[in-house]
Amino acid sequence: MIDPVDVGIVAVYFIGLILIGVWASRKVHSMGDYVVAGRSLGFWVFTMLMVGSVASGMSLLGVSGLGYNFGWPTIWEPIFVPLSIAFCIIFFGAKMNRIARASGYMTVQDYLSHRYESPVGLRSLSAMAGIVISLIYLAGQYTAVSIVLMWLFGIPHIYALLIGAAIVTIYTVIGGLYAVAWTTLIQGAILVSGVVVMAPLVIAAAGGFEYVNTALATINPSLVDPWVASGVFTPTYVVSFSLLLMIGLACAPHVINNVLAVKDVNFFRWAPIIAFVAYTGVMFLLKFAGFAGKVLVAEGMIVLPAVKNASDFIFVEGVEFALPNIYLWGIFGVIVLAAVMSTTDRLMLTIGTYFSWDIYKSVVRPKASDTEVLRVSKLSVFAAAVVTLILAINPPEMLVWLIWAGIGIMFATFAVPLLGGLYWRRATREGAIASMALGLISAGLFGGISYFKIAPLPAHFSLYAVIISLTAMVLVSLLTKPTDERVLDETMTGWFIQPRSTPTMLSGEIPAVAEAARISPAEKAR
Amino acid sequence: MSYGERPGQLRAFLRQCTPYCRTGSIMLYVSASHINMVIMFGLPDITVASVGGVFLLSVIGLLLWGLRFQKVKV
Repeated sequence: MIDPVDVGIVAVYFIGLILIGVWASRKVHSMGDYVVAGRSLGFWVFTMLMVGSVASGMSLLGVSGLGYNFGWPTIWEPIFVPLSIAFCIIFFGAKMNRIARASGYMTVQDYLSHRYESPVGLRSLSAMAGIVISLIYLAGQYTAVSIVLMWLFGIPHIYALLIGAAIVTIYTVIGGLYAVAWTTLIQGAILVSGVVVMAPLVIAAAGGFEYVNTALATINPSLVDPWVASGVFTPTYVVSFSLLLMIGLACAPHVINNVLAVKDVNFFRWAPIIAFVAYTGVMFLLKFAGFAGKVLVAEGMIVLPAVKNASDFIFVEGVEFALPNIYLWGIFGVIVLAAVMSTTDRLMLTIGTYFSWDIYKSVVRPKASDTEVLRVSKLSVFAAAVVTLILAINPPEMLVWLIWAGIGIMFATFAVPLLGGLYWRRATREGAIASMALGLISAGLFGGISYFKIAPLPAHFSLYAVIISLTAMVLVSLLTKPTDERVLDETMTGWFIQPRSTPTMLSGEIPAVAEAARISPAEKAR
Repeated sequence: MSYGERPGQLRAFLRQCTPYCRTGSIMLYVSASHINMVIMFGLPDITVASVGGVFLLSVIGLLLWGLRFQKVKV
């Protein structure tokens, strides 16, 4: 039976999100406002936006679930996922934000097309890859929203999906990045405080941290080891999995684009460690709650539902056991929804932006006005919601695997062209296209080998694809004509993280790609 | 004795406790107080050292980044 107090708690949360969307919509006058929030994000809004973009449904349900299944060998996840935020800010953001200010970038594709002098080829390839990966990831997020609403209210999957999608779509469509960033600030605060309160209660209910570890060792001694000699989490796999999480997530389109929206590049000084400490704390607690759940199940204190992804319910069931008060479930539901929605809205906006700016404006209709592109952007966000909703209504069996594979594909497709572009002056357009295309294809190939168990792969499949991508970048770049020195200077390319000075402006003749990405008149006036 | 020297004995003892777990949790606490001398948090040394080490290195690295950051005039 639906409890009216739980309904009230979730309703207040949803209404709050819509109100923020309405407030944010008043600030949106141009594409610059919609896509990069007029480059006005303050320190805490930006830091929480980074955490919220990375903290997906997997953070709550999946992290505990993986801990429940494999124990301590999965402990690297709570360290390397938060490190992805620091990696993104330091290795991409510190340089890219300053170039973006000088050149008016809206998306990472603007950087790629400028740096590699490829206004159509690389931009389209990169944008399409980003859209496809984001759509897969988004469908998974909607499924997570549905799981929470179904569990909380016992309503059918389709209604749960429609409710969740409607709320996120409304505030994202009308408010753009302003709405996404400010709602994420609220959602991030709810997530951090909620997990800090609830996870220790689950661990305490299982007998405390030390007892949980001792009991885990009695179930299976390898559950308390940092890796295993044979099985899934071998040392080789742990290293490749950690690299995947740290660099793959840092390259994710819905994460890396945030660095373009920050107001002051000096925020990048302490944002990495604050985001890392806050998010690592949350993820450690969730992981330990998963371990505690394992002990509670082994002792017969809780029973997981008889579904295929039963381990994903371990935190939910643990909270139900530790907190018999039904009113607290509504608050818990809001916490999970906050984690899921903070990623969902950013993904939707990324898809809309990539389509409207990188495909419609830059390739299909270069002469389209700012108002027209803004309209297309809003329509694209709406279309992304509809497409993913259809995917999520009857999710393909491969969906869960595809979501995980999505991070691997992002790692294989974007890591080498981005890092090569920022740090290696010899990286060329041809090298970047070969690297991106081969990374994408080989990620699909090795992913298939892994999924269909054609051959055993000691490391995560994405690592093989990254090695191929890197080889292609080096070989093809060395065999082709070097990039113009002027472009390399404009894009601050070189073996340094912090450039000595910001380029005043693109000197001399402005490349067409950079011209397309220039700041809108409204933004310039501000 | 360090963890791993006679893990078989230790684990066999803990396994015996498992069937009585809830009611026998006091029993396990008694054993845990003994284990505490050799295992921190009920974990093998290598787990504590590797996880703690990577976490600390990450924090130190990020602190160094903050301290060495060159302020940019906007």
